[in-house]
This record gives sequence, C-alpha cells and structure tokens, in this order.
Amino acid sequence: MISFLDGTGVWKRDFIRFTASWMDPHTTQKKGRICVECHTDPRAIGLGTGSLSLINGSWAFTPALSPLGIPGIHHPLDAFVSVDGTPLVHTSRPGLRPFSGREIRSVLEVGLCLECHRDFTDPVMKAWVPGHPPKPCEVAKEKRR
Amino acid sequence: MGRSFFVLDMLVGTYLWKHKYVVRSVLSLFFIPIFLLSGLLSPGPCATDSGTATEVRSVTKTLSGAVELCLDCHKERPDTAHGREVLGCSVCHRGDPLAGSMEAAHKGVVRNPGELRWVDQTCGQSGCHSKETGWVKNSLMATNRGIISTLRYYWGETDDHAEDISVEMLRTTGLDSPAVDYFRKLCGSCHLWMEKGSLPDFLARKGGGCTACHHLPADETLPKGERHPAIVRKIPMENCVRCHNRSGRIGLSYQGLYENEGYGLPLENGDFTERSLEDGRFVSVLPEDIHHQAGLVCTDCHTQREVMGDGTRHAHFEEQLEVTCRTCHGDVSMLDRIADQALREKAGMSRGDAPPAFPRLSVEKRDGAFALLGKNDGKPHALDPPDPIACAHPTHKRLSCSACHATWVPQCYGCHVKGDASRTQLDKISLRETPGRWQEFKGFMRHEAPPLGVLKDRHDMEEVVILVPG
Repeated sequence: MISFLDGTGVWKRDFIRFTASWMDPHTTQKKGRICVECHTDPRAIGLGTGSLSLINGSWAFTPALSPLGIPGIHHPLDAFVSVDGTPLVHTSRPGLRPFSGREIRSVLEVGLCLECHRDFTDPVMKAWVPGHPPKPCEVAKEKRR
Repeated sequence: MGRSFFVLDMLVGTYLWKHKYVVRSVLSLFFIPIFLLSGLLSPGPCATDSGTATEVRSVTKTLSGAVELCLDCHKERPDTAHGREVLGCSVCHRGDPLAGSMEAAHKGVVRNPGELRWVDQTCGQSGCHSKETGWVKNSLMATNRGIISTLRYYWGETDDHAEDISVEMLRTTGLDSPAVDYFRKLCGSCHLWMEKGSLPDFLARKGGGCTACHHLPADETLPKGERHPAIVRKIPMENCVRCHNRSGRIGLSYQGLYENEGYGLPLENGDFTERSLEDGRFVSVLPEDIHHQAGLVCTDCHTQREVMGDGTRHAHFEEQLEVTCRTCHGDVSMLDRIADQALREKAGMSRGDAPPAFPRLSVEKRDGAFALLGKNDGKPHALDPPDPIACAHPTHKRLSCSACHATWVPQCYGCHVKGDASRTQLDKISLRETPGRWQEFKGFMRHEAPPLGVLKDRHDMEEVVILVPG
C-alpha cells in the first residue's frame, strides 16, 4: 500500500495492491520439510494461518487472522489464495501464480493419507502415480465423509 | 634545466598517456641521463619546508623499464597481481607518471580506479579487463534493471515487467515517476555506479564499481605509507552481503540471520535480542544454510557470468543464472563436463576469448566422486546426489529443491510506503536533496512454513517455488 501525501503533508490518495514474488531463500537444509509440513499446513499452500476442514467432500478454510479491512483487500495479509483457488495477490512475474484449486485439492488429498502412510518408505506412497491416486482405503473414505 | 624538462613533459603528456608503455620505455633511454644531469645542476631534491616532497627526487621505473615517477613518493604496496613494481601507480590511478611536480603528476588522478565512471580508462583499458568491464556495465548489479522495472510494474506504472531502464539512464536523463523516485531515494545506494564514499554513514561503504566486490582493506600490519587495498579474485562474502541484505534478505538468511521485528520480542533465551546490523535492524539466529555451514561463499555457486553478466541485457536475475541446485546435485553428466572444463582451464588450456561452455565451477572428479573446491579456501565439498526416493519420485517432479529444503524464509507482511511531497530526501542517484520523502512501514514478520506457488518459465515449464509477500 502506498499513501501519497500532498505538498502540505495532507493525505491525497492510496494505491493498494497486494503482491507476491518468488525466491530461493538461501536457507537450504540437508533434511527438507517432511510431507505433512506441506500437505497439511495451510500456510505452505498459500492459504495463510488458520484451520482446514473437509466437509461433505469439500475443503473449507477458516483464517486465523482478520481480513485487512482496507478497500480492495478483503482477506488476511498472509493469504495468497483462497481455498477454491482464487488468487488474492498480484505477482512479480506474468508466469507466477499461487496454487490453483485443483492443485490445492491434490496437495490436501495426499495429506489425508499421511496420518497412516507417513512418507515414501510406505509402499502406498512409493507406488503413487501422479494423476492416478490409489483407490481410497476405508480410513480415507471415512475421512471424506 | 630540470624545469624545462618538466614543461616539455607536460606538453607531450597526452601523447605519452596514449602510448604509455612504449613511449615511457623509450623516453627513459634518452631523458634519464638528462634528467639526472639536471638534478646535479639544480638545487637538489625539491622539498617543502615541512619536508613533504612536491617534486621528484629520483627517477623511478617499473620492472619493464617504464618511467613511473609516482613511485618516488608513493610507497604503497597493492596485491601482487597489481604490484607496484609491475604496474606502477598511473596505469590504474591515471595522473601523469612523467610529471615532476606533485600538482602536475596528480592532474586527472582517480582515487578508486574501479568506479564505473572512468573504468574504461582504468581497469577496463585495453590489455587489462576491457571485456569484463563491458559485461559488468550491462549487468543487473550495475543497471538495477530488474529492480526498477519490477517496482514500476508493481506500482501500476507499466504493464511491462521487463523494461530496459537502468541506473545510468536515471542518472543521465533525470527520468522520474513515483516508483522511480522511491527507487532513487530508498534503493538507489546499492548499484555499481554508486561511487564509494559519496553517501553518509554505513552507506559510504557501498558501491565503487569493480571494487564493490574485488576489494579487500589494506593490510594493517604494513607500515602506514605502504598500505594499499588489495584487489582480489577471491571475493569475501561480506562484500556481497554489504548490499544483498534487504528485499529478500538472502545475504542474511544464508548466514542464519533473520531480521526480526525489533520492538522487544523475547527472542533469545527469553530476553530481548541484542544482535543488530550496522544499519540498526535487529536480527535473531536461525539455522544457517547448509552451504554456509560448510564454508561456501556466494561466489562458489554464483559464477562470474551470473554475477558480472555476459554482456546480454537480461531483465531479471533468473535469466542471468546458469547454476541451479541440480547442477551440482543430480546431473552427473553435467558435473563430468564441468569437472573436465575446470581441469582443462587449470592446465592452461583456455578457450581464448570464448565464454566457457559450462558454468565455471571448481568441480573436481576423484575416484568417480565429485567435489566442489571452495573458491576462496580450496576446501573440497562432496557433491551428494539428491534423495533417490523423495526427490526423484514422479509426484515431486515439479518441485524446486528449495520448495522442500529451504525450511524458512523471511516474510514481511503488510508493506506500507508513505510518500510525502511536503518534505525532501536525498536522491541517491543524483546525490541531490529533492522534493518528496519516502518512508517504509511493515505489518508483521514471519519466517516459518514458506508458502508455495507455481512459476512458469520462458520454456513453459512449471516449477513449484517459494512465494513471499512483496
């Protein structure tokens, strides 16, 4: 947000735009984030801090922070995308975007399985083919209800 | 007679400068005997009452036999590559090495030869580093092209995120707009056209053209009159971090320093942190990058072509990069080629003026395993392949390495800028105080759970990368 003050120091107008850029933070660790740190954490997906729930097969997200409450930005500052995949930010490059709704659902679907099938040492995870998730087991079916 | 020689010398000064190497050696054959004779006839070594020599006392020469009268007074000892006996002073610092008086000799002298303003006549002169200075002038660190165009793109002043507007253009044309004015006042101190010492306080150490990177302070153990900064190929990390510590905070994060909110959070052992940077920002300690832990510096990964450019007018840093994590971790055939190239170059089998075919990394292959040798310390670092399951699994095909392995990232939310037209501020490009003052505020800082998003590159390949606000 940019506030412009005139020659007498009085507020004239605001330019409001929420932007995101991409970067390599240069904080590399040998051990990367574990599966649940991305697949079950709404912050990693770009939704921001809050609670995720699966209701009747649909994902819902309740943000922990209040919406900013200024014209043009009706979401918390740490939200880059809504749970249905609507981008909430401008980006620094034309080819840069937050996850789409389909991508968000795919990431979270995997998260449902991680409680039992914790990582790639698990045969189910190891055999997971992109775009062709394994048939949901009874636990997964229960979770989706 | 000594005076007559100096008048003649000044008259032909321009000619001598243009043909300095040949002419100075030839002149020395003819004029030295005359000069010495003149010394016998004149009152002797010229000195002021205070004892400071203002005219030369003896004819000093470089090892090639070129007359370099500067050496009579100046005893400073630069690094060996720029040794005083080899180059003298005037090759780098200009001035007139054949003038006998201090005033005439110092005419046109430059304190810092590396400044881009005159670099074509100093570091970049023919026979020295002309190719490299040409690259650097076009590089992102000199032009700030990416920063300026991104700012204008962010602020809605242009739809083109890759405009070709450079610092030099701002300097010479006076081009301005709200985003450009913000750049001039808040960002304009970190570019290679910035002349070292022209800004106050800690900003005085920024800039300096070639010497922004290739400079080491003088050896304090030398006698005072012999001290001279060293011009080095081994770039210490501090020289990079002097500028690369804001925006993405990469230079800080790499060392495990996180710029915190600084208003008294109990961040260290239940108490307020006492760590702060030279500009007053508070930092706390988080896990450093594993490469930093191993002793690698910025230039171990960021090659000459990435940093100094290759003459191409790239718009953004990602276009200038040639090394990625996968270059060292995973692509064995590429490592083989890089190691072979490094071996050939070490053996003196260079490709002449042609740019290296592969990234110029100090990779060595020994017993079938690859190691990266630290550029500054020569220490070998094993180049391990990525995890064959988690990293190579097809479900993670789109993931960048940093999406998982960069476990924290500074996230500054709620960036708010105030532009006050009723006040003035130093324009760091023109070095003039001009109307309009910019001030930055932030909402809150976070470092955990780096958010992810998708970047489509110019080849339409999608990669999952880390997103940050701003």
